[in-house]
Amino acid sequence: MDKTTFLSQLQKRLKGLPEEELRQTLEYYAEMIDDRMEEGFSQEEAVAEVGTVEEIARPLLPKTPRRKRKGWELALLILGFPLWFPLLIAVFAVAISLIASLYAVVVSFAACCVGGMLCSVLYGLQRSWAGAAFVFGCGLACGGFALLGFWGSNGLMKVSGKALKTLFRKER
Amino acid sequence: MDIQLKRGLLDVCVLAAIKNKDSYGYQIIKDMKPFVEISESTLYPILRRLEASALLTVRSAEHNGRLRKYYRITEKGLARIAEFQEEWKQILAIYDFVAKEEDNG
Repeated sequence: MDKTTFLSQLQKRLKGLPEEELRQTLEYYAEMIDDRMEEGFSQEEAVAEVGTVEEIARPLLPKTPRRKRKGWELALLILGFPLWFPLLIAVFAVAISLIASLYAVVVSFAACCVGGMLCSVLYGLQRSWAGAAFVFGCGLACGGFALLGFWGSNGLMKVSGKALKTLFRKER
Repeated sequence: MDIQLKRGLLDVCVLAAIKNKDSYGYQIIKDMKPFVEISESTLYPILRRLEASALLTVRSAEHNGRLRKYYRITEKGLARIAEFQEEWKQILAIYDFVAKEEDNG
């Protein structure tokens, strides 16, 4: 690579540094290449000896190229607080109530199961054992629904938890 | 070697390279080479740091129809070298003790 190409690549890589710092850095490496060439190295050799653009740029660039939050974004965030904070709370409340109602259905099925089984005994004793079997069966079915609902809700919670996690990771 | 320690050592090496005579980047690298290998990309931040903390000053002078930067040590830079020598006397004393105990054991 010749000196001009090298320096322009370095300049491109260091874009974002303060102007003065960029100028000094380019001057330094130009001088290093010139000094080597004066000593008898070819231009190619001199450029190669000085190091790669990556090597040079890494210690000079800021550690993490973090996006700076713009002033108006911050202002909007603060001024918008009375608006977004209640909304945030509302979202949380809706989520929690959804979860609660989901499990309430499960619990009521479970209650029906227990109730049905107990009732069937009374029904059998007072009326007919055929009807009792029907009621008992209904109770069992409710138990089944309760179990299915329980597993289903748990699965749903896990999936939505994962979805939330990936969503926030992307945000970051 | 410990990074922090190595950094401090290189700083003093660069100061030592310009102690007796003003010098320029490539010359500093060549002078240090028999003792410490240092690359251009390592030297550059050191020079900037030493300049920022006023241990050396920089001036540009013409050489073969182009400008070259010469580095000159300051009083503060000389003091830093003296301080380093004092520190290392202590470290050598500790080393002697460690080596002696090692031999006795």
